[in-house]
Formats: sequence, structure tokens, C-alpha cells
Amino acid sequence: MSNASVFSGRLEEFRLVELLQMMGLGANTGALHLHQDNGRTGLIFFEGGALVSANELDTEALTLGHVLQQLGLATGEQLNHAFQLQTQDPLGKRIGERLVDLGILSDDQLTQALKTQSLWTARELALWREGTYEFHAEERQPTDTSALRIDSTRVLMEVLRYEHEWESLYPVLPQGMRTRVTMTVEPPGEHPLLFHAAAWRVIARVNAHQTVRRIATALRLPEVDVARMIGPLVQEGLLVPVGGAGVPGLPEEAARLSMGNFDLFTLLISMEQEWLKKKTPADQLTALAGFINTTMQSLEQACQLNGLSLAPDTLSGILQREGLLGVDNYRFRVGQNRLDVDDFATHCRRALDGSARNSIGATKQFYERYGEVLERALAAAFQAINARVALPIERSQNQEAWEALFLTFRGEPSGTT
Amino acid sequence: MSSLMPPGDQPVAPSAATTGLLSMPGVPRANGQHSGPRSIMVIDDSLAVRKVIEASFARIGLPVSAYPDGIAAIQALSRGEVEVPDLVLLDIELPKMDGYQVAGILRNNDAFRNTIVIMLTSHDGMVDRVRSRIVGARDFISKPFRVSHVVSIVRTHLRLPSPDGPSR
Repeated sequence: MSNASVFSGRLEEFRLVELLQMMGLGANTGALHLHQDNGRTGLIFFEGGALVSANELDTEALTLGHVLQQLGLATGEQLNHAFQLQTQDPLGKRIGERLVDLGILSDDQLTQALKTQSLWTARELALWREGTYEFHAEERQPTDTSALRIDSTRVLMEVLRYEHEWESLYPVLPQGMRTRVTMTVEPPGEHPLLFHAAAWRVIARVNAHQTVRRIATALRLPEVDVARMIGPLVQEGLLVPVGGAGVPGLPEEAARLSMGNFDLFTLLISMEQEWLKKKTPADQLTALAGFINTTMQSLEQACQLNGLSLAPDTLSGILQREGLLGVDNYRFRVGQNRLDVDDFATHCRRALDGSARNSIGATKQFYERYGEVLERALAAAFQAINARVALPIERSQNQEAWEALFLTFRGEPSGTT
Repeated sequence: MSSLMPPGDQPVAPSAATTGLLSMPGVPRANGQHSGPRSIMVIDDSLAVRKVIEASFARIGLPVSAYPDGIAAIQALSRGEVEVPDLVLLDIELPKMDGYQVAGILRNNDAFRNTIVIMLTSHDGMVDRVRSRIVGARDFISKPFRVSHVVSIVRTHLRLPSPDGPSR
């Protein structure tokens, strides 16, 4: 892999709080991967020592939706509406951007919520007492994270404060925010059963499926505040922790929107075999145009498997963003996520008939110019899809594989891996 | 050839140019009886195929060593740079020495008696299948392939449990 692992070790020997300190002091850029034997995975990205993103790959991980509801910035209904929009355009804007477009959030509120999500996730990961860590220098998020920087000192202070707070909460909520609690069948006889209204609101939402996080989200209260209320209720014997929820993976909505079903590797292999049959530059050019269509077709199928529909202007959006709507005076005809390959082939024939009268050099230049644009368009489609892949290691593997295919397109030697 | 002969029934004559490559002392222990992690080797002149195979098996925790031709692979084995793999995915149309020759060399070396060879090829003819069998290949995968199909075949040959249940 291209991302060198600079250092690694065990959290039993070197805790996250110490690693965070080291990242800040060293002004490091890269990704810190945390793993537990039970499959739980955490990912923290740094830029120049500042934390820019923290995620846990767990079905019960803290999501932006949780944060927005807990901070009272959006309701469950508003989030569902934004999510529905995203299911119709999975490569388009993300949930937060859609909420901004809908006028529910301001840009500033979205930035604050994203930073809160990272900070709260990091402080939770810092409670891990066992597992491994691995730092990959220069590994970055596929999206621009410059606005999401959180100063290392602020992260450290929050992590230390949170660790201190959980010293008393862990014995009663052993799975942290993922702890499920239920009501005891036999309340302690001596308990007066008098409750503050806030505690009653918590109790009313308790059932065996609700985690601390879910209760906090339903109450629209910060989860640490809710944990502070639930902790004493467990201590008093009124609520009982019944284990933790969550398994390694993405939260349900994120899993639906991820490109886990997109079989990039099979697509690359079939493209390569198809390419090797194309012997003339003209055939190769139209094959490249066809590959863009095959990619979009595979993407549509992957979306369908997840119950999503691909917006009909997804391809034109990608081409527009990259400034690849045409070459010289020719504009690609794009509709319903397909390039009009026949129109393109006709254009190539006409252009080459003209250039053939001129010189061999002009013909070569034509192929190179058009080939380069089509390759960039295909790479842009891959990039757009790859940006939705959750694991950086998989994103990196995907990129290496398609770059290898592009070497075949250019007729370059494959060398050793 | 009249039938798909089981491995071991036909003599194989490796290329004179390569005979002896594996007589060098560096070849690590023969395996096949161990219960530790399995390893795979892919020999294919396509970098895309090598990257795809490496990544696909890395995702299920199987290490892959990858080489663009048989000579490079055999040299690495001879020098002890890589352990004898449990399974080799071997392209037939290789530069320098074709896949049949590579398979023949492996088959004639005792260090590889437990190594499973699976041929990869874009030619899906009966002749290719028969020749693959003759040189000791256990299976044959046509290109273009579905990556999940390759993973499934490898799992079956290595008797690894499938993610959806016990191995077939």
C-alpha cells in the first residue's frame, strides 16, 4: 500500500490520550487506525496535529444525525426527509449539505455539528483500554476537511475530562453510550420512587432495545447529560444494564448509502479484458467512452441492491465538476447517466478523416488528447464512487487497482507489485 | 489427450531454460499440512489483476504475493524471499515462460507437492483446460472473472469456511 505505516502498537501500553498528545506535538498528518479483537474499529484523521475527523465503524456509532438531534439543531423528521433525498441521489450532496440547502441548518451550524461528532467520537475512543493502533502518515479523508480542524489541546482537554467522568459511570454503564438498559422488575423496597421530571422522561423511554445514545437522541439532549441521569438510576437499582448494542459495520443509513455493493474489481477486470481486444486507436477511444457507461450501469445496479436510485444527472454532474463536458469543440452528449458513444464515434471518424488529410502527427495528437480526457472522466467517476467507501484502506486499494488498469490503457509495462 | 487426467498421471517436461531454478537451497519448507494462516501467490502479467487479487484476499485476511512472470516468482521462491504458497493463481499467457511451463516446474519440485495450482486465462478452450490438468492444475478460471467467484474457488480449495457458512 502506498500509505506507509509510521508506527503501531497496543493501547494497553500507549493510550489514545497519549497518542493524541503525540500527534499534536509532532504536527502530524495522517490517520490513526484503532482496532479491537472483537472487530470494533476507530479512525481518527489529523492534519498538522489538529483532529479533523473521528469515526467509529460500528452499527451504533455516533452519527451526524444523533448529534444534530441531541443539540436540537434538527428533528428526526427533517433528517428522514434529507435521507430520502439522498437515496434518490447517492453520489450527490451529503446529508448535512442537504439540510443546509433545505434551510434547516446554517453552514456554521453544520460545521459545529461535524466537529462535535468528531470530538465526541474521539473522547469515546479514548476510553478503549485494549486493542491496537496504527498510524498511517499522509492518509487523508477524500473530502475537504480544512474547516473541521479541532486544536489538539482542545481535544486533549475534552478527552481527559470525559475519561474522568466515565470513571464513575463505567461500572454502571459498561458499554458506554452503547449500553442498553431496561427497568428492573423488582424495585428496591426502600426506594421512595420519587423522580425529578427529567429522570422520569428518561425512564419513560427505557426498553431493552434502547441504548443510552438512542434515549438521548429521542430526548434531544446531549448524550453525556443523559448518561449522567441514567447512571444514578442504575446505581439505585431501578434500571439494569443489559449488555451493549452494535456490531462492527456502518450505521444502518450510512450502510445503505455506502458503495459496499459496488463490485469495482470485477468491473476493472472485465474492462481490461475488453481493452485487450481493441487493437486500433479508434476502437480504443470508443471503448473508453463505453467504460464510462459500464461504470454507471454497475453503479445503478449497486444502488438498486441498496434500494437507492441514481439521479439521472449524476454523470453529467461529475463531468461538469471536473470540467470534462467535452474536448476542444466537441461536447459529449450525456443523458440518463450515459455518454452517447455512437455520437462520439461519429465525431471521431469525421475528425480523423480530416486529420488524416493533414498528418500522422495530428492523428496521434487527436488520440492522445481525447484518450486523456476520457481517462480523466472515467477516473472522476471512480473517484466519486470511491469517496463513499468507508474504509481508507479499501479506498486506497481501489485506487491502486484502477491506476493499474490505466497503465494497461497506456500500454505501459506492469512491473512488479 | 483423451480425458482430463488427474494430476500425477502424466509426465511433465519443464523447459530446459528453467530446470534447476528450484534446486537452489533457498526454497522454504514444503507446507500443506500446517494449520496456520494460508498464503496465496498470483502470477499474472497484468498489474490490474495482481492488484485486484491482492486486495480481494487481503480483505479476507489472506496474504498474497504477486509476480508479473514465472521467472520472477520462481527466483523469489529460490531465494527464500517468499514462503511456498498454499495456492498459486497462475496466468497461462505469461511473458518469458508460459503458465504451463511454470506449473510443470512447480509440479516437479517436491517443495510444492501440496501447493494447489489454479490457472487463469482469457482462452477458455478445451485444449487449455486439458493442458492445465496435465500440468497438475486443480482448477481453471476464465477471464474476465467475477472476483467473488475467484475468492469462492480459493476458499473451497483451501477448505476455508465460507463467510455464509461451513466450507463446501
